Amino acid sequence: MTVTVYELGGRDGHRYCPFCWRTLMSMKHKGFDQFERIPVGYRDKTPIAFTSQGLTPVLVDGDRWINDSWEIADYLEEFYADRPSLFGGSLGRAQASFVSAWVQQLQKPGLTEILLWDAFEHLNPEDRDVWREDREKRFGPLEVYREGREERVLAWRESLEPLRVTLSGQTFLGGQRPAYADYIVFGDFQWARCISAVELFEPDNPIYDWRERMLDLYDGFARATPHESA
Amino acid sequence: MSTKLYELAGQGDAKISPHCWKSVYAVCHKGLDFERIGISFFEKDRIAFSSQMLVPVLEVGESVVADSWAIAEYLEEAYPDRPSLFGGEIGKGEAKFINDWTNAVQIFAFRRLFILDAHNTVKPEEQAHYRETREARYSEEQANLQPDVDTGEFDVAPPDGGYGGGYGGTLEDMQSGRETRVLEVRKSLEPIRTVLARQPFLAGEAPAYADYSVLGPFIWGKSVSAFALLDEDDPIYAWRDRMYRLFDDLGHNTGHPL
Repeated sequence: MTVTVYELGGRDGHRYCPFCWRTLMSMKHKGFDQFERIPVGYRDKTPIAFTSQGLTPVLVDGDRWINDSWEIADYLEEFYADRPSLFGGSLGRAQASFVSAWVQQLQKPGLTEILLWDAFEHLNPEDRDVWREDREKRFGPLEVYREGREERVLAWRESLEPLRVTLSGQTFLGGQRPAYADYIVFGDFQWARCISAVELFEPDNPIYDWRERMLDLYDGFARATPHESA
Repeated sequence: MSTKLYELAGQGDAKISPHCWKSVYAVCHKGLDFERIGISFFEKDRIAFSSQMLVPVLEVGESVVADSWAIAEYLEEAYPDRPSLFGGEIGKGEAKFINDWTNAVQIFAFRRLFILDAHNTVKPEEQAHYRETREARYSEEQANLQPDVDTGEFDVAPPDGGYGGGYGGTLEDMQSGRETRVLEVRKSLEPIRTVLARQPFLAGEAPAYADYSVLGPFIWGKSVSAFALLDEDDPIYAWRDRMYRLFDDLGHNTGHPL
């Protein structure tokens, strides 16, 4: 049976959407060695027109389709219950939503502004005008974000303290093995890695080592994607 | 088998450590009968049997465990048939992260909202010591990471610029302007607000250790100060009320009204 993930696609084969990465890693976690990955443009939603909505990721499994990364995780957990668990039960699922909310706080304000210019540059050329118009309504002129990324990162790093403390004492957020909580956080860091040369962490930070472990998972699945920084 | 929890105590046996409160709720969660023993700053020799000087200390028969996280791990392992604090390996990993968030963000922010009130709750003969150690330590804190004076648990530096300003100065300086600063502190709690807007507890339908981690600083505040931390229409406020009702209204019956 064909299993397909529709994900946001950028220029030159870049696949950087943080929410899509949550789903991609979850697919590997659930033991899907091979599945089809189909890019969807920022404007051209033709590939997912059958869902009558415009958001990625979309998972198609046989005759079912599911959108929204959290819904997809729930679906995978329920329908592939005999495979490694993403949440480890209802308590783990509930607490993973804290991790998601924490990441949301890291993004806005924070990572979104750090990556705004890089995100623009990694769009398909035909998507840029529409994207610029939308983002400039919220953020002002994009060129403002072209400079000063390193300074923004230094300030942003402070907010990673809880994660640094946790990962200095355990291998993954999920304990000895990665779980959905890890994929939630990794999605954002992978987004940055795919589109920006900015280094988010110092190499002596336990978060750096954890990200290396995440990149090594599933035969280096996430490491192999087109990227701009180590 | 007798179970005792040694906690930091102030005037009138007020329990004045957020980490100790985490352990109180963890022991209650496991349904154990236990004795709560208040230890003030100058009475640390009473926990000398634990071979260290920090509270909380849990004593169960021959077993002695210090440090609130270690106590939670001990309880989960020693009482696997009682309600779980973590719900398994993944839940435990996540709960540790929530606990680390509490220590790094929440406790750090709360402390400056009622540090003077906390001082005034300490036994009169220990207040000079409290003032001296806090004023020295919190002045250094931003540059020099150190464990909490009483519990040995690490707080970490706040985001760049701190929560409305740096530490330092007198306890009066640290607490001043809290009516304004509390707005920033409330914003820093956004992750738990987001979660509690859509589920009753951080652990889901019922409370678990992650909830006790976050409750610890609130009930510590309630134990030393009447200062209102939350708006009534905040989802965190409703959650806190649910938490205060647990174990025969333990929270509601503690300290100041809110």
